[in-house]
Amino acid sequence: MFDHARQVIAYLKDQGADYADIRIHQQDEEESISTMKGDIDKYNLASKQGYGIRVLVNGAWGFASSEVMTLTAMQQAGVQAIAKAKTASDYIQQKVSLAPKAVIQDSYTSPCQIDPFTVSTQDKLARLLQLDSQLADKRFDYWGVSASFYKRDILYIDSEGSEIRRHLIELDAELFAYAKDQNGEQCRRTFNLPQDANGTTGWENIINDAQFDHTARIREELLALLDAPECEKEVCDVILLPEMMALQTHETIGHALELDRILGYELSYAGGSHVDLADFGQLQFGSHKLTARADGTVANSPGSIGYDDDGVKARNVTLIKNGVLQDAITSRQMIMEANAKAGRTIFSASGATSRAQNYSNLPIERMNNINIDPGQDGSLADIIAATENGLLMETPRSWSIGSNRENFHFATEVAWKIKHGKITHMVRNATYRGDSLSFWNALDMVGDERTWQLQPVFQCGKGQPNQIMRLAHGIPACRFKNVQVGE
Amino acid sequence: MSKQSTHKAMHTTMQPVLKLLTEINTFMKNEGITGSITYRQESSHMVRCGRSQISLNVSEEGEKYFVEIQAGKRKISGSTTAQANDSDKLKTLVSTLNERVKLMPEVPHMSPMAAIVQGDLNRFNADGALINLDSKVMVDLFRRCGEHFAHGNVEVSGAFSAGVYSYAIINTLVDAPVAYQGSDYNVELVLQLLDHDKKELRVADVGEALNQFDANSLIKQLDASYQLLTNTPRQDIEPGEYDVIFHADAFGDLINYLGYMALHGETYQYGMGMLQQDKHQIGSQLFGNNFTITDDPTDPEVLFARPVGENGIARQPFPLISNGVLSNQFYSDKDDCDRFGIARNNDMDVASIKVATGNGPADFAAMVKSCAKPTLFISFIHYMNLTNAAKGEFTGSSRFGTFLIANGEIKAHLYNQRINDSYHRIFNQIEWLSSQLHHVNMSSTYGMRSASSIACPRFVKVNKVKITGSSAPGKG
Repeated sequence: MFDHARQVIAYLKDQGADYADIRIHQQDEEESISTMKGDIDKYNLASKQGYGIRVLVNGAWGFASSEVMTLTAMQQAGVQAIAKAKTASDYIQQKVSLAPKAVIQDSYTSPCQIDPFTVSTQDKLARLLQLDSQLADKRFDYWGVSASFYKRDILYIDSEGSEIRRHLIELDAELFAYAKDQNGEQCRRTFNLPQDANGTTGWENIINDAQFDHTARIREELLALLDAPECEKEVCDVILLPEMMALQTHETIGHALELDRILGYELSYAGGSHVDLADFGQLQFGSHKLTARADGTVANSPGSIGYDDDGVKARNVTLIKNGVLQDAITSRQMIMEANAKAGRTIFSASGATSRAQNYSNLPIERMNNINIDPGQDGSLADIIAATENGLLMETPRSWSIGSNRENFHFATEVAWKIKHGKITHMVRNATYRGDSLSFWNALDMVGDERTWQLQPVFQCGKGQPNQIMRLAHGIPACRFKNVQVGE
Repeated sequence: MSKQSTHKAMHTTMQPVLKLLTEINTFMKNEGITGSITYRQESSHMVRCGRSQISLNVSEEGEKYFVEIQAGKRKISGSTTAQANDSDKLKTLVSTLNERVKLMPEVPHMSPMAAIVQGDLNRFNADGALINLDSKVMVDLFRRCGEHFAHGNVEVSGAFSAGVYSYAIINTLVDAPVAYQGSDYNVELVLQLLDHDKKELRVADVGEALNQFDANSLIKQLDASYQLLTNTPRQDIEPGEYDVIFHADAFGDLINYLGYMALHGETYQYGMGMLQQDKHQIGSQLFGNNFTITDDPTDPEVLFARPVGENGIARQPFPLISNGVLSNQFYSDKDDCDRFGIARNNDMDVASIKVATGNGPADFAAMVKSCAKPTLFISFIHYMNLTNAAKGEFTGSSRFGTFLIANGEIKAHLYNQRINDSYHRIFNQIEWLSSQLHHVNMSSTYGMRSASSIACPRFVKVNKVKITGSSAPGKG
């Protein structure tokens, strides 16, 4: 297939493309299994094959994809992409230019001990049904386990001479339980399988009890939630546990710092950003305790794929250092455009975050691993002990964010009231809201390494056509002062 | 847009697909396999604009076959990309699934597979002009918009998507596939006013055929909003309860969520929506008696009407909410229906939802004139989500122009306002619905193309909507 790809790129250059690349998904497999109340609810095998061709002509992008894997069909798709680029160039103010990058011939393979596609179906079903049975309780309406395994073999070739092959394995799993509370209204507890940042991506995560078997905790928490009082409206401190911190980071740091969004390319759909180019190096985005990164080099994560879809090697980029905004989530194209617009060099190199969900999509800026450095405020117990009046919150239930990521309103699955340094009781239907910058500037305690966890996100949507991306957030437990809750 | 007759012709690729489906179905029968095959296809074009230039001009071609095999009370499913000459690939998938289904545990509540509907139900409604669309048409819209507003310091954004989509279904209890092919376009055009605190404006359109698309009308609508935003002062308001007039784009979004929360039968059975089985049943008065919703594929006023669902179920006129009373709920998924011992009755994925119009103002000027008391106008709801599904509580933020109207005129435009309310309250407090119908695009670009829209009144006035914050600094 490399030969086909090379021939297509050469052909497109002959046809007038100033730049061309092709991504071929030679293999793209997904196996998904879910249980419910002791039964197998769904078992599905999906496979697909196809490619996407991207060209630059007259400073404009054109893109076409197809699933017909012949050389002739690839050339036809390429010609279609050229025609689209020519049409697009009719309405261009600033020609697309790409920041320099290293020419690379390399391959990347996800670290994996046990390829889930080599595990027998019986073993998979047995493990999931075992966990399912441990979630059961007579007060619950529904419970179950879901797991999805992904395997992709992707070739990338561009007209600058890079040739990259990626073998990617990813794994997503969840526990869930639903029950009616004292008012007959449904509550839920869920648990997403976290990743070991220094571990491997494979079946070993599913059979590791310490990592995935949180069934007893989820069951007990849901039972307690059913009889818990409602969260009261007040202003208090909030401590966010890893699943909630992942959402907070994702929505109000990650999306806010996508450079295409900052420039205005997502305006008509997802929205803009409260961040301007003038803010880089200046804006006090958060308190001095906040240091955030876009780190594509985390050893094990669905956000670590070796090279992005511009063919740029993964990097660890400091986005916010001690509260001050430094960098963004960037690609080759957008840094050139942003620097030109700003009239200064804000971004020195692509952050290697240009990614496409699928062969049928054009790559755009996507989060890789948007992480927050652990702090020096001790363990979770230390943070709780230092809190006079607060709420400890975990697991997103809903999220709504202002169109410029300037404010947010989040609901959680579970929360615990803290009074005088101690957890007093659980509360249900806890929500909190705030202005993004004020909130991050109210960050006053950051947990140490013991509280840091890598939370994967498998359903991040962005762009038109909409693309779902896989990524992660490595985050510690954090405390924020004086937050509006219960509204 | 106004609905007009469309050019109707079967895409040349469909005939071999129907032949292949029949061949694989026969293969399954001959192998003693019970199952179904569903085909889905899309051919999509999209042009996207940002910063007053084209940022993306793409095309996608996709074809997928979905196979389900049921062996007694065991079931398995799979899918693959394939072309119409790939019968060996599909037979291999069938054989793989047939081997693996034996490993599945029995599901006690699983019912036997039912035959899909048969008859003269194939529909080929694709517009030839959209099948072979030249992206120049799409690019020109944005360029013309840029030229129109060249006098102001604005940035033009938006997306224009168009294409054709098909599906066909067959199972081993029948001999012939049922097929549908349609086309659609949807477009949104956004202005950001750089000299006016980056305020944003939006217009949108959806249709089935290219001759329904009217670039002039869209630019004219945008211009009217531009004049309003640039000639009125910006204000903020205190949190509280306000009478609100929702534009169809905002109200359609509320209806879309209501569909999941109240009209989706499986959600109801699982107790995951806003209705509780001990309090709300078919026949219950849920909402005000001026509120009626139907799903009627025979209604000439809806777009994308399909006579058969992607699940092979025939679709008929289906009242959902009749004068506030719950009349029907959708049951579309066999696995979920089996769990509750309920028969499937429709396919919500291809529903043709329409909210009945009322006697309210038909156009913008009349709507403004009708507001004697202070009233908010919300044109669009951004990022709606459920804060407490069981109570029907949701939140979302207004966007693309929020106005304060009083004494029959627009007094000010507002910061984006955050709504925190419940669907129970909203749909029980409707004062009036516009007499004019408007189509709101609901097509998702997740997965394969499948057009969807909601037909609802152009404006709907709802009393005492809860506003809890705004995009003004410090008010989130």
